[in-house]
Formats: sequence, C-alpha cells, structure tokens
Amino acid sequence: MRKAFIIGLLALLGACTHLGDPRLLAVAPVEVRVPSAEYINGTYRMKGTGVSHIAIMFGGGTIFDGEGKEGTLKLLCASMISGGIVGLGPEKTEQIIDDLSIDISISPEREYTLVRAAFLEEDAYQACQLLVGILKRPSLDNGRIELQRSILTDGIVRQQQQTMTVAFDVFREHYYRGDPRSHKVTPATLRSISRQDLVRAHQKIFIHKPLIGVIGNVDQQLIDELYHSFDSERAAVQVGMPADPEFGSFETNAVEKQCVLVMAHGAPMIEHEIHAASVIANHIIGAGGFGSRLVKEIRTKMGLAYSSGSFYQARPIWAIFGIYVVTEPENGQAVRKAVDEVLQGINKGITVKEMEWARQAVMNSYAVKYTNPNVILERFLEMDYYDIDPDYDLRFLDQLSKVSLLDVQAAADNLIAGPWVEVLVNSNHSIDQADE
Amino acid sequence: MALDELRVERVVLKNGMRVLLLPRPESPSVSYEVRIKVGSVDEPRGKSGLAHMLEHMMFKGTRSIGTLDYQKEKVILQEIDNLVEKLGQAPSENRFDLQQEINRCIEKTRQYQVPGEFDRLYSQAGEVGLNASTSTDVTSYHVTLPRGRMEFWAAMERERMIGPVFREFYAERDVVLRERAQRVDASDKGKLYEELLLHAFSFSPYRYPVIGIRSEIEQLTRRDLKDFYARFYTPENMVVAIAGGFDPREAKRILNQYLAEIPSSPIVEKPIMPEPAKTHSVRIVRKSKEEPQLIMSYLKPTLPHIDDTCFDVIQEMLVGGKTARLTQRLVTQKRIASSVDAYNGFPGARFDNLFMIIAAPFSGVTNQELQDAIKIELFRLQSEPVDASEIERAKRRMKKSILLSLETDTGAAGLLSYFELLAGDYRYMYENLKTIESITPDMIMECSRNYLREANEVIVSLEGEPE
Repeated sequence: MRKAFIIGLLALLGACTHLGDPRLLAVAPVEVRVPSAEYINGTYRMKGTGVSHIAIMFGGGTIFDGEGKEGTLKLLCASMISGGIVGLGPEKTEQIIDDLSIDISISPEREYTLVRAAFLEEDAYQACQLLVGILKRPSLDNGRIELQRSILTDGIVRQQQQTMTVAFDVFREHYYRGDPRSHKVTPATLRSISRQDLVRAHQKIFIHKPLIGVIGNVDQQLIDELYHSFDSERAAVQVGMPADPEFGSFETNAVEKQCVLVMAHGAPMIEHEIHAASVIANHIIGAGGFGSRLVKEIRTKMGLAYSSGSFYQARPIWAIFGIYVVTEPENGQAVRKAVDEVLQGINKGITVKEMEWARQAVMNSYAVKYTNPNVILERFLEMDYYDIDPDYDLRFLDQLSKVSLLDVQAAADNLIAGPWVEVLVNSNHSIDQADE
Repeated sequence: MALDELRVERVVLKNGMRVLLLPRPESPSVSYEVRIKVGSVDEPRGKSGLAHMLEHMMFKGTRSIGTLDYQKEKVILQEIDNLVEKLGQAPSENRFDLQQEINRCIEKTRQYQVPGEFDRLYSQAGEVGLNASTSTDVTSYHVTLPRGRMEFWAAMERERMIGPVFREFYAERDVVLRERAQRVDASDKGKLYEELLLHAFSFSPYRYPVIGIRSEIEQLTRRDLKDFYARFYTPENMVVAIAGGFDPREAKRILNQYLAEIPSSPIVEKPIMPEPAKTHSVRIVRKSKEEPQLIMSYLKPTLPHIDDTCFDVIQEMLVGGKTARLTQRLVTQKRIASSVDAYNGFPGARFDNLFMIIAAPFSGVTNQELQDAIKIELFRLQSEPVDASEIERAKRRMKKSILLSLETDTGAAGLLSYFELLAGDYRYMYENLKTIESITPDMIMECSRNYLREANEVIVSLEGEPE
C-alpha cells in the first residue's frame, strides 16, 4: 500500500519534471557514426588504451586442406605457435611469450587466416620480432606437432558429443555436397597429416604479403619490416555458392541430451538489390531478439525453447540464411511444427510497424556493433580482403533507409522459401529411452 | 596508459545509488551496466532460482510498457496469483480444475499484453548486447546504445526500477526450466558442477546452483518474485557504470532527473554462517558416456583477504601461459592432459569460495593419474620457494588482463561496476595490483600449505563407462 502510494507520487512527480516517454525517446533521431580507422602506409590504424594489438590477414584458409587431410591448416597454426622459431626452439619461444605476456593466436578461417597479437605497449619491438619469427621461420618441432595433434583430436572428440556441432556438420555435409567445405576434420584425417603436409601448407599461405591492422603505439617502421618480410604478392581466395546442394530433411543423434533444429540455404549476396531488405527481413524473422517472430512465438508465447533465432551472412560471392532452435529432446517435432507456423505467418504478411521497428533497429545499432577496436580492425581487413568498397557502410545505410514494406515482404518470402537443408539432431539418450 | 590515470567520476545520487562515469569522447556508443547486489545467495531456503527468474522477468515490461490496458490486466494477474496460492493448498481432486482456471486466466491476460515490447523499444533505439546475467552474488543488466540515447536508457531503467510487471510468468518459468535443461541437465559435465558445490559447501549459500533446483523452480510464484524484488531492488543496493561517448554534465542531469528520485529502502543482509573448515577430503566419481573431466577444489577466503590475492598469483603461476607450471608439466611435458585450467574465486566473491583446478585427461590417461600429477605440482608450491620472476610475470599478466577489459566500453563498465559493488570501491582493481607487489615467495608457500591440502579438498570427476 505504502509502495503504491510512493509510486503514485512518483508518477505525479514525473509528470511535473517532464520525464520523457521511452517510446518517443527510442525513435528520436540519433547520430549513426560508421566505424572508421586510419589507413596509413598500407596499414589500418586505431588508437589504443595501453595494450597494443596487431592483426594480420593472410589469403587462404581451411579451403586449402586436401581431401582426407582435413585439419591441416588448424594443425599447422597450432604447431607454429607451440613449436617455436627456428634457432630458438619451442621452450625458449614460449618463455619469451610468457615473460612478455604476449597473446598470439593464429586462426584459420575458411578463406583467410587471421593472426592476432596483443602486448603491452612497451614490448612492441620484441612482439614484432617474435611474430615475424613465428610466421616466417616456424621450427615445426615434431614433438610439438604430435602434442597439438593430440589436443586437436581430443577437442574434436569432445565437440562431437555436442548436438549443435553435429547439426552444423551434417548441414555442411549436405549443403556443400561434393565441395571441400563439406569435408569434416576427424581424428582419422588429423592422423594422416605429415610434417611435410604442414610445411607445404605453410609455404602456400605465409609467404604472401598480408593485410595489417594496428591498435596502439607500434612504430610504423616495425610494421613495415613485418610487411616486407613476406615476398610474394597478396593473394585473396574466395569461394562462391555451393554447386550442388543436397536439399532435404536429415536426422541424426548426439550424446548431449538436447535437440537442435537447423535449417538453412543460400541467400542474396552483399551487392544484391534485395540485400538491405533481406537484412531487415532477417531481423523480423529471428535475428531481432525478443521482438522477432521466432523468439516471440517459440520462446515467449509457447515457452518451447530457450534458444532460437535466424542468421543471415552475406559476402560478395556467397550468402546464407538459416534458422536454429535448441530445445529438449521430447520437443523436436513440436518445435519443427512451430517453426512452420512462424514461417507461414511471415508469408501472410509483415506489418508496417514491424518493418519500421526492424529498420530503425538495424540502422541505429549499425555503428554500435563496431565499438570494440579489434572488431573494427578485423572488419576493415575483411572489407579490404573481399574488395568491398570503403563507402559500403554509408551506401548500405542509405539503402536501408529507402526499402519499402513490399521490398521487405519480398525479401522475407525469398529468405524463407525452400528448398532447405534441414537437420534435426536429437540425443542418443532419448532414443535409448524410447527403445526401452 | 597507467591504470590509475583512468578518468572515472564517482557520483552518489541522493537515493544512495552509486554511479561511475567514464567518458570517452571518441566512442560512437555508450555502454551501461546496472549491477544489483543480489544473487542466488540471497534466496530464501527452498526458493532456489528466484534471483535468476527475477532477472528474466525484468524484461517483461512495466505498468506502461508491454500492456494495452494495465488496470484491466492487473485484475486478472492478481486473480492468477490468488488461484496459484489456492492451488498450492488444494487437495489433489481440486487441482485439475484450479489449473484449468489458471490457464483460462492466463489466456485472458494475453488480450492486454504486448509481448516483447520492452526489448523492442531497446532494439528500436539501436541496442547491441541487451542482456542480463545472474550469479551467486550479483544480478547485472547491460546494454550498449548509440551515443545520444542516455535519456532513453534512463527512462527505460527508471520504468523497470519503479514498476516492473511480471507478466507471462508461467510461460517464462517453462523457458527457465528449458534453460536449465540446456545448460545443466543436457550434459553430465553441467551436473558435475552442481555436485561439486553441494560437497564443497556445507552451510554457505554457494551450495545451491544459480539457475535453481528443478523442483524448486517449478514451485516459484509471481508473489515470491514480488517479495524478492521489493527487498533487494533498491537504489542503495545498486551500482551503475556508464562508459563511452557522452558528456558527464549532461549525464548527471539525466541521472538526477530520472533515477535520483526512485525511493530507496535500506538493505538488511541476512547473516551468513561462515563455512566451517573442512576436516576430510571428499571424492566423487561419476560414470558417463561423455569425455572424462577432473575438478579439484579447495576452500579459501574471499577478497579483500591477502590470501585471495595470493591465490590470484598462484592461479597465474599454475596456468597463466604456456610455461605456467601445470600447463607445462601436464600438457607439454607429460602429455597427460589435453587442457588444464585454474580459477580463483568460484562460484562467487561475497563469501569464502573455492580455488579450482579443472583438467581433461588425454585418451588412455585416467583421472587418478592426472590428479596425482597435479598434486605433485601443488606439493612443490608448498615445499619449494617460488622464483620472484614468476610473481613478476603474474603481475604483468594481471595488469594486461585489466587493461584489455578496459579497452572496450562494455568491458570497462562491467569491470568498474563489479569492483565497486563487491569490493566497495572500483579502485580495488588497482589496489589489488599493488597488493601483489607485496606478495613474497614465503607467502605463496604458506598459503599453499594452509589451503591446498588434502583435508580441504573436494574432487569430482567424470569417468568413461564401458560402451
């Protein structure tokens, strides 16, 4: 009672002090600053706050792994750090890394390989020397290769127990049928990789001039030396849409006691005329959190799943759209039905209100996604890598502001139209119980 | 940048809410973190999961957001509360009818509700990372918005601080049960942590899982939530941290206008019985189809006790980097573990907590072999003086880790508010680095002898079962 009185008083007080209405404040015009980094002497640069970072992008990634030798690049990257530098050896290299507290990672992606190093500002010289050594003259110590092989194998065995990993593996197997992207790293493929395979992979990737980004105070001369230590011209590798996807429904199981539904297919690429409308449509379908149709229906109204949503990734020569739901083993079929109903609802019509909400959400949050300096830097490297025009962000924002309801409805209909590669993974556990 | 050069302004609003402001003029956005000193440790006995459930319900709207007609909706919500109460006391023959009646009322509320409106407004305003988390100690609400949206943020947070409405409660309770299923019940590893807590603590509220015990979550009601909210969600119990592109003067005006008038009530913390010293070692082995895992834990004091800082250093010495003791011996040299990690301060920092070592054996290695090898390293800590360079390295790593967290607006808001709330002052993070300077090899040895001993350990493990 007392609390109600206080709240009433507060409401009155609020009216007197002209408190803003959140609904109006949410749509008030706001400045959208697109991310920026300086481009000096071939290097993307940003200010730092005490820790310096170097990001280096080399053309070529896991797509280079030969058939039956999947995991080559992963094993190479892990062994390059662990194995140390020629002349220094693994132990001494690790000692320097740890003494200076330098974090180094080499992450192979599908089309490129990204190297990251973070260190205290005063250690820039040693960090750059170390990076050049690891990237140019890795000792690829046999003992360390075997160690990394065991660690990767162990990781794969553990991941294979997870329903989400299994779901995406099965998806790739069918969506990228007959294409290296459908191949899976397994303990057997890891076993078949020789040291010579690693040397060959190293010579294929870590000889080309990379793209470089820097955060913090790292002398340009050090960066120039780093850049010029690679002799061959820059190489960019890009792979397009799959040639022969196998659409259909596929079911399998995993150890983890949950059920995952993943369904996905190709989508409009980044320069396609309906790309901007597709981004808004994706937000409405499942990427917009609690305001999106999938989450609202499947989680909020039906309480059927804790995790659900949609994803849409677009690049110059490939793009993918998909839906995922994670639920309990017994809810697999109910979730599948609920997803169908949500998609039918999208077909029946998106409202103007929904479209305006999604448009504002996408536009207003555009710059907010890029506030972490590392994320900004990697974005610039990626845009450069894929030859995306530097004015892309402004052009895209302009396109977003111009899409109509008809555009968004057409884009949504296109995104959710079949055929799909649909994967349902349930747990071994529930199948065992059903058998009993 | 020296750590203490960070230009943080600390403001205490007249209702006792503490606000930390870190302006960064070049930032295109602003990150907000609201932390409330309430977590699972504050839950009444038998109501585990309440703090976490409340965190979920804080996104369900307010008296003016998420509803078409709150006055009409409220009447039905109260009716549901009354029916749920009756259901709890009803004889079994009446329960079916009562449940049907509750379901009918829930259906009726839907005509007045606008699901997801609270999130939708944030989304429209351009949020990224709108989320919340509940731990044993703290509940946190965080979001990043474009610069220029502070008034919107303050208006939204004011709304939910003065009048949240816990609508759609029963559907959300199902969601929480599914979250539990996904995070804990789906894997034996998830359950292993619950088992660890149960055996590591006899009296401490750290004994219970944050997400709650399934049978207790199923019994939570809206009334439980309202009582808990009224008790702990008060400005004096909150810390707000704001980092990013804003003008501090404008920020203070907005904070005073929107948040300073929210009434506060004093918090009476329930007395917590200190966890008694352990007298014997506990070992729990669970058979599983999952890959094996070993967790070793030791009870120890929390911050600001000097021993807690010693354990920060010990953690770094054991697993901080490739040449750290456990990583080097177990992974690189003996090749018996595929991974090893250590964590100081599990599961929280408000009360005495655990120093924990988590390791995964390579195929063909038993947990016992792994455990024996870890113990050899723990014994070395107790018996051999530590090299001063190891402490120096630990200090560097800790400094870098803080600097890395402060690099982003989100990280800075999170870190500042965490220390302000739990240590009483955000500057604790600098002070702790200075305290490390005073740590000597003898202190590390003594600390290891006092705590890393057999009678103080709880070991839980997953071991493979034959196919």
